[in-house]
Amino acid sequence: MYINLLYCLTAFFLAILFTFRKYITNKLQDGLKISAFISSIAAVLLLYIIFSFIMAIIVPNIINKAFFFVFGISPFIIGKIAKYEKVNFYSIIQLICIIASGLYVLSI
Amino acid sequence: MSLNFILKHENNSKGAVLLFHGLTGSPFELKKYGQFLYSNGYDVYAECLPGHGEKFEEIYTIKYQDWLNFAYTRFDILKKQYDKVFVSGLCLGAVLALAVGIKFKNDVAGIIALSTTLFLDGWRLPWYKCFMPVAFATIVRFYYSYPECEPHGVKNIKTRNAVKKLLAKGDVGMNDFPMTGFFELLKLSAFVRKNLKNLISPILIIHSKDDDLTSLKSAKVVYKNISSEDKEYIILYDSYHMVLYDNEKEFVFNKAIEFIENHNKVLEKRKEAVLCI
Repeated sequence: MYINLLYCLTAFFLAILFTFRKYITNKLQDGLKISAFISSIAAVLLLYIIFSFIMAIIVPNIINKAFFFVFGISPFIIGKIAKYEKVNFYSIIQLICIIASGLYVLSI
Repeated sequence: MSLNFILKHENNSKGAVLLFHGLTGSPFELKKYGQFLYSNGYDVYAECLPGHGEKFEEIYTIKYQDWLNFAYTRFDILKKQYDKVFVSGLCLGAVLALAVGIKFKNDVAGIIALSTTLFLDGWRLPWYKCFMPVAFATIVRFYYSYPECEPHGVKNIKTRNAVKKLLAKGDVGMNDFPMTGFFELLKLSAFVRKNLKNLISPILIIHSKDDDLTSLKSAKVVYKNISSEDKEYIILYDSYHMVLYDNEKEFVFNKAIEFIENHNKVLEKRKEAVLCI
């Protein structure tokens, strides 16, 4: 139960970071602070990936397991196919995946 | 930012030296080194690497294969014009010089690898560099660029201030290290490390003990894993990453020309012996 809650919180926190990334980086201005902020997104994303795989292990249903596994590897798949020219498009896809996973964990 | 230069003698050149600059740098950082080699009788070639041209955005779209193809092509062109072609580079340029040595193992007269960057483990990088692998593998790499900051790879305060002024103008290099550039550099590094055993050319490795971007580990890995019998490894104790304009630059220049001259003589003798036969 706690892991569900933690997963949900991580997913929504990550979604917030992705959504307000541009706004926050514009506000920060200082290059070092921006790089620290972007690193924090990477850190939360790592947490999200770990939680996804933990969920994939602990949930009983095979379909649920498959979903969480896909959520866990989605950042790597999107990272692999993403191109700089279409970075906003792929960012939105990543964001949708994260929000969908957060909602999915609430539904089970 | 295109600061390409070719320093060519009218005639009687002793050979050619192909130079490669570092990540987010430009041939400007090789200018004094190039002029020194030129004054010692060598033709010197230094061009902007792909992704380091007029448009800053290009670095985000570049692949390490583009750098490799560029380096191979430039070497191939010079090899057709000169009997002896030496290759030298700084940072990413040193990794490219190694790649050229691996590809053209019998044609490279010698390699001078300065501050070879096979690993990003220097003391300047922040503690949160541990999240870099996650950033590299995901879309976050497009958001991330690490700003050029103190000490700018230079220990000498006077030179550091001059570098800061030049970088502020944006004429000689980029003010940030884009994560995509780091990502491609590490992929290139993995490719080179995998093939180091195929490197048989004479090599001079120069690396600073206090390199702020990449530790001595990179130089040690090169030295231990190459198959070259003729290899030399020099550690600098009063410089950071940019060894070509730090406190020991004269020492680096002199060691480089000493290495080139020695191997030039060996090649000349070998050529004469072949002609006698």
